[in-house]
Amino acid sequence: MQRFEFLGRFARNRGALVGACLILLVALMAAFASVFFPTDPLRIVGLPELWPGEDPEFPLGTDSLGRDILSMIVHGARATLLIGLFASAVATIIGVGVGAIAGYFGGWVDEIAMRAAELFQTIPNLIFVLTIVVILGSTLTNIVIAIGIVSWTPIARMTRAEFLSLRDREFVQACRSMGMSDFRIIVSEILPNALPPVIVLSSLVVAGAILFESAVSFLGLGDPNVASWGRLVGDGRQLIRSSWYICAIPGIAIMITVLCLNLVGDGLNDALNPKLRDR
Amino acid sequence: MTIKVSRRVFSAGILATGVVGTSRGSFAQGTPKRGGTLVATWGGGEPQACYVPAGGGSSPTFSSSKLFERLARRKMDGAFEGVLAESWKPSADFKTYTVKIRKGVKFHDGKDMTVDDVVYSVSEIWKKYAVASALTDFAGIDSPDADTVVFKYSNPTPEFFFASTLCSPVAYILPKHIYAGSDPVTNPANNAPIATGPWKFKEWVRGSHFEYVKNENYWKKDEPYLDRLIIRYVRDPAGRAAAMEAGDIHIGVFNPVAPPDIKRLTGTGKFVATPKGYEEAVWSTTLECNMRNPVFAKREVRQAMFHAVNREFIAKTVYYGYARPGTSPIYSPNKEFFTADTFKTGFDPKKAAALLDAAGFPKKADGKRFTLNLLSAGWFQENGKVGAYVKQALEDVGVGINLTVPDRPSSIKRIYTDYDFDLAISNQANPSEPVPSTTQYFTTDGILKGVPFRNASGYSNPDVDKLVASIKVETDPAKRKALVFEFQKIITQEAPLLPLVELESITLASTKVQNHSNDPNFLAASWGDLWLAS
Repeated sequence: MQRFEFLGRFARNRGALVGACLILLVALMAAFASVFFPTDPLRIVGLPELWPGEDPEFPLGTDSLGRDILSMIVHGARATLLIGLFASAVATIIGVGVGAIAGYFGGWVDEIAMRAAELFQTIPNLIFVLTIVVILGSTLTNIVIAIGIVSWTPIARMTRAEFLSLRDREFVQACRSMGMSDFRIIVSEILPNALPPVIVLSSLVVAGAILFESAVSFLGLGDPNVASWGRLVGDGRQLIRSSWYICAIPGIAIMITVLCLNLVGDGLNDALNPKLRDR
Repeated sequence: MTIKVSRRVFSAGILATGVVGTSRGSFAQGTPKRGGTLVATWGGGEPQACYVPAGGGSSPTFSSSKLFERLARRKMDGAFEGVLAESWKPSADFKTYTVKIRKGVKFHDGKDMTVDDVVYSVSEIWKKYAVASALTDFAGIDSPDADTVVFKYSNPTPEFFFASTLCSPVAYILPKHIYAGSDPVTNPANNAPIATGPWKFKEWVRGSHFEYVKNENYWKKDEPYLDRLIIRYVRDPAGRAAAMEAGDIHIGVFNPVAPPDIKRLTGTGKFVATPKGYEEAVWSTTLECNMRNPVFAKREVRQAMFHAVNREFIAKTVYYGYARPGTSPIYSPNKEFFTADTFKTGFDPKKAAALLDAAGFPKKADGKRFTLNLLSAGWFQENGKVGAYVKQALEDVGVGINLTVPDRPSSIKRIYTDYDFDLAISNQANPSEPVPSTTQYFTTDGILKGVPFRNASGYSNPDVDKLVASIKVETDPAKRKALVFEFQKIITQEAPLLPLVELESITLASTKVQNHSNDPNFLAASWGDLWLAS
């Protein structure tokens, strides 16, 4: 019953519904990429710079080396979504962990954790990501870790704020007086109540991570063994005056996906925020 | 007048639509017009300093060569011509060279240039920084009288080698009264040089441009024709194309814009593109095998790497035809030393597979013979594309490839310091004289950990070392040529490092700019003779 209520509230936001459907489509595309295009998407298969529609074999054309753009978009959806999800997971785990401990214990633990978070926040995010990728090497895993490391601070602050407001509530005090361990109070009592806004934030981090990955790849520091959308934009940059579709097609894919993720985030906010329940 | 103008536009249009840089011998017509400001750019970034004693790459070479002058230069036809030197002559044993220095040359601060400046520059700057690797046999320099200096060598030194050293891009004559007693590397004059050239330094607006003004007391009468020369830096090729199209920049050297933009801009009839002016600095994209990996112990395996790759495809697709397949470590525009009679490692995947089979690397169950790390140096965008293609080509013959494309500092560190690669795609630019710039990629003494653009493959062969040593001291031009031919035959068969393609660098200029691309290393020429038609 409660679940249907949640879905109903989510669906009341039309934008979120459209966003969720499109994201689902992208996810399906990513899941079945190898079924539609069994060969390596980075294989040179045709003449370079064929415009979309010029050759029916390549509906979205080919890039400057003669690789099938449609195949790279479909396979790129997988890389791009995976990077987004895993980076968001890394950021959420770090953020929730740090925020929960800081908010629950307070005092010097809080001071240290929040000063550390501020330290991370003062470094421009993109430059920090680039630095980490350059030092660790540009592989998919390292890019995910780098994005996770720069994206955890807002989640940590949000979690801390929730914990601060919840830690002295009666139900928590009741747990304490029952002699429940701190760990158990954090994980099973406070966290479930603190989670809804964090989930909304995490969904936005996915969108942010996709943009970070695109920027990193655009600057030529992406993993060259993986077809990602950002790399496609970066490769096509030189040709923007003559073969603009090479940049435009993956650019549109990135834009739609990020927009949809933001809409889904809004929808989650509507569905999870009890204050908006009766809107 | 109207008819004249439209005819020029028309002829430029014909030029532009045909193959780049055809017919017109020199980009000049009529009598030079005086005055005006020329704005130039190049296909790279701002230099670390206006002048770097050790060279510091093409960027400071470009900015400093308009101010400083060398003793000599090469002309388009290959002949040597004195600049600050009037003539030079070897002794009978080729161990000393007597050089006559030009009289009446003044530095920009009004002081006379004398033999003392030459002696100081050669012994303190050339030997220690600028052309150290070409002066290993250098034993000192004297000045017997006020217009003569004598170079002394411990071994016979071929005349072509000596003249090439005088023409080296940063072998400048510096003012002793400004540099003596200081550390030349950190001398503040490096960022506001006092020199002898046609252009005087006015200012450097960092992040934007250099402004140079006419040297009124230049020793070459009538030059420079222009009043001002601006070197502007634009980071992005697309930005350069836009600035040139808007008329803000008149000339761009060394591939200022992306190939598709070259076609677009020359198509308007307002620009010409030419590959001329790079004969003494031919760039190539190379593939090298790290000999520290036991897989490459047999030369057949190294040859197979090259047989697997279609160099025509790279030239045509990655470089849009502004490149040609490389066949030898000495490049084809080199009139003195290039030979086509070398060991051939052309595109032949079947042969590559057969060579690998025979070398004891059959395909395993997963379809791979072995897996290699391919590092493609990220300083040129094209290298990443070459890497992507080479990966596919090698995978087609059963060699697994992990491709990485690190940025410039990481690439230099991983190739030339850490030797952290199995195959590397890099670039080099070489003048006609093969010693040491070409040979140091193959000789044992070129294995210098941490020194970029040397022997990173680790290839060491006593026969090659001996051959290069004899090339260095052979003073008979015909015999020397035969030795260099022999060198090319051995290296192409041994294949530790070979060019995939020779790059055609392009200068793009407004049709108004006259007298450009008239030097075999135009980027490093003085540009005193350039002028702007109205």
